[in-house]
Amino acid sequence: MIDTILICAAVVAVELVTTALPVAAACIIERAARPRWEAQRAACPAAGFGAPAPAPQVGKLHQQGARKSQQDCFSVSPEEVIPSYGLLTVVADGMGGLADGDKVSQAAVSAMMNSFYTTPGKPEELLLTLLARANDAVDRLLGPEGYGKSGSTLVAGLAREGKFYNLSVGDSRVCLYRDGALYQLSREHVFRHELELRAVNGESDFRTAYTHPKSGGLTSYLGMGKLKYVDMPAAPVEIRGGDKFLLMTDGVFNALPQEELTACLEGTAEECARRLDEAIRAKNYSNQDNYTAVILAY
Amino acid sequence: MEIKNDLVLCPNGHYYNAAVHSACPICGGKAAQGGAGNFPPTERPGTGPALPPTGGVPGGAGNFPPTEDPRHSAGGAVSGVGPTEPASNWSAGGGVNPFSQPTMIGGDLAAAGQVDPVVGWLVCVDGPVRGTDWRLHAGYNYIGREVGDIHIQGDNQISREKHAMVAYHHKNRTYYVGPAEGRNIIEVNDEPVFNATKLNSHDVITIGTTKLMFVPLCGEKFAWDQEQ
Repeated sequence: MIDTILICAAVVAVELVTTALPVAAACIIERAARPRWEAQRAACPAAGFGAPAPAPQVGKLHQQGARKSQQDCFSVSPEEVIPSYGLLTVVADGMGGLADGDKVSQAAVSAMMNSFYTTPGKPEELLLTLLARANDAVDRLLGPEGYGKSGSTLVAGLAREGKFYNLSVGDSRVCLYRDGALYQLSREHVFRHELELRAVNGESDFRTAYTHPKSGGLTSYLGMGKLKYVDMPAAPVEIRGGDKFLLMTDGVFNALPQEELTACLEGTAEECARRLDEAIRAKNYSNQDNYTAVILAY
Repeated sequence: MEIKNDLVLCPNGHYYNAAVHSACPICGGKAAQGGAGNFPPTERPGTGPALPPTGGVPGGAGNFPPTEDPRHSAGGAVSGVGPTEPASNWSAGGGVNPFSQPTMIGGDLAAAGQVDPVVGWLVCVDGPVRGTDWRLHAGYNYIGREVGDIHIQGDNQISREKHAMVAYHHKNRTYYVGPAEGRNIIEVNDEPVFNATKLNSHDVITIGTTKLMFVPLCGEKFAWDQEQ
């Protein structure tokens, strides 16, 4: 279902940062109706937030699958700094099969986390600044001749003052599990979206878009030099009790159909991680990709 | 791998990553040794954990050279095209192994605005579009009025496509110009050209009624493959 919605979104606004979700869309409408919320938020102190957000349970799933190396990488900021900085989660998927994919994802995650504690700014700006740090680190690692030869996706979630902000480059995903349903908060940067747009514009057809051998190729990723796309929703999600946020690499959501993935998300964060692991192992794919998920349960 | 956060709380209440900084990057070494109150002038003491002024991100961005992205076309990086999958299987399961292909970079990035690194320029010094420049990439650059690597619009004496070509050869760092399928003879420094001939810096190519000055980037002093 989500897939269908995303395809529709591509038709409308491939160039836009899209939050093509019923719930998220509702959030946007709610926010739009509230005047001057930007100003209210701007009035908040730069650090040391008044209302301490409860720390979520954190579930971690990080497995190599059937691959020869682990090219996924992730990090979650410590609980004790939540009152000062919020909670930052970063998940990166080094480019499978390409040399140094593990180093690239590690460089990206390290740079993002290392800068988190020393970078000012409102949440959206902060996430984008940290992404710039991550991309700088990858650039330095690869050197100009290394562009386009290895790379990494990156998804990041920042929970601060009861709101969840997220950012994505590449094809990893950020999802919200609420009231038994899974909503995708991020949009992948894959060639299929551009093929769909070509079909809409009459330059190609949808069959090509859905059968093109490179339709899953990444059109934006760390390691390409200048990033082409960054996905960030127009407004954050208001965190409610019972919400679970899921940041994951494609090794998770490619292995599990949406319904099966969703079915793993009841219970504590640790239970979710364990169930996801069991479900993926049960598939027993001979070339199961690295799979990583961080679950934040409120 | 999971990257752990090795956080340390300095005496002034700032958290920092001890794996990256030997002393607090916000209030500096002195304050970290107990000298309270040494806030930089832009700080507001007493507002909780202070943050550095914008731009002063320690351990963050370094001096990445402002070179334009010399990325190569993705073709060389993406090897092997896997079996075509039906659309219904792109997301998950469906009986088809979803991991039949490794994560790939790019679709056809060339069509998506990606470019080869520039190796030189042609600058129109006379003709309908005097003052215009065009980038040259490695390999063959075809010149045409409407189609090709270099479009010279407005000069009807230039064939629609592939009137001539300018080439750069990586290995010997040499530039060439030659006729292609054009009708009118091209000239280099007013001499007619019938076979591909070497181009030197600031040679002038006449094509149609247009004169193009050649400006190289690569040569003895620079080449992309030795840039590091």
